[in-house]
Amino acid sequence: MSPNEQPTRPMAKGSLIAATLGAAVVAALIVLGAILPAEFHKDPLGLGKLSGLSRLWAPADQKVDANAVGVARTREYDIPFRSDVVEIPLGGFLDGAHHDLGGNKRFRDHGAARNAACGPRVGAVPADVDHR
Amino acid sequence: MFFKLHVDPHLVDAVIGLSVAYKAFDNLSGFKTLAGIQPDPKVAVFGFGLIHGFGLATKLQALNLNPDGLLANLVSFNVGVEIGQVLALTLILAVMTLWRRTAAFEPTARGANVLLMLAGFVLAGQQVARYIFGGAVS
Repeated sequence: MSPNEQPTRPMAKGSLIAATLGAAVVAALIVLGAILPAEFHKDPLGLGKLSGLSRLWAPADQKVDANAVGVARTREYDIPFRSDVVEIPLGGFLDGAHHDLGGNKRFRDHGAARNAACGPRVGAVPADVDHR
Repeated sequence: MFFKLHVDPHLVDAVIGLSVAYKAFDNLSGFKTLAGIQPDPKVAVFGFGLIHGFGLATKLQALNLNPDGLLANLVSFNVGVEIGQVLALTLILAVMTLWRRTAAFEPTARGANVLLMLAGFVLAGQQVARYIFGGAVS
């Protein structure tokens, strides 16, 4: 027996073909379902997204001059920046404006308070003045 | 290097992957069973040895070696590779001989060769993908 000859009995023809084709099919599945999503950002079977292997992929590093100004990103993802719409309710016109007058003066008349807030301070109507 | 010979390293690696699958198939006596022929292992070893060496060479070309004393460095590098191979194969041969003596050798050897064939196909597919889609040279 030469050193390269196998001491074992050869496989049956059917199982040999099945093993070879099976290996080829499994290899194709691994390449298409795991290697392409993880290394090349391609997902022909959708398995990469399903298994989360797609997240292993990252864009190539970009070299950025350390002295450059205003360059913060070193990787470019094709994901858009997040944008939010914020609503700030303003309430009624000049609500809370009487705080400007301060002190313990109170206005019986709302109209007077508004006039006072809008106009110059000297024009303010004192609280103890009666409106006839 | 000394010759202007260059082939895309990914294609060389793909062929290396196929050579792994070839050897696994040959270990399973695939050629004898399916085609009735037995390829001369010496020819196969020589051919694939050339390709494997070529793969190593393309990796070296990517390293931008200093041309100063390049020939001496290359020769010592190859001597180092051979010493490493002798050391590794000594251990592997001892373990294989022990494995061969066990009763489980035949089924486990078949399984191992099928897995080896799978690994060869995966390696070939990965390198073809890298050739097509590009990416960092590994």
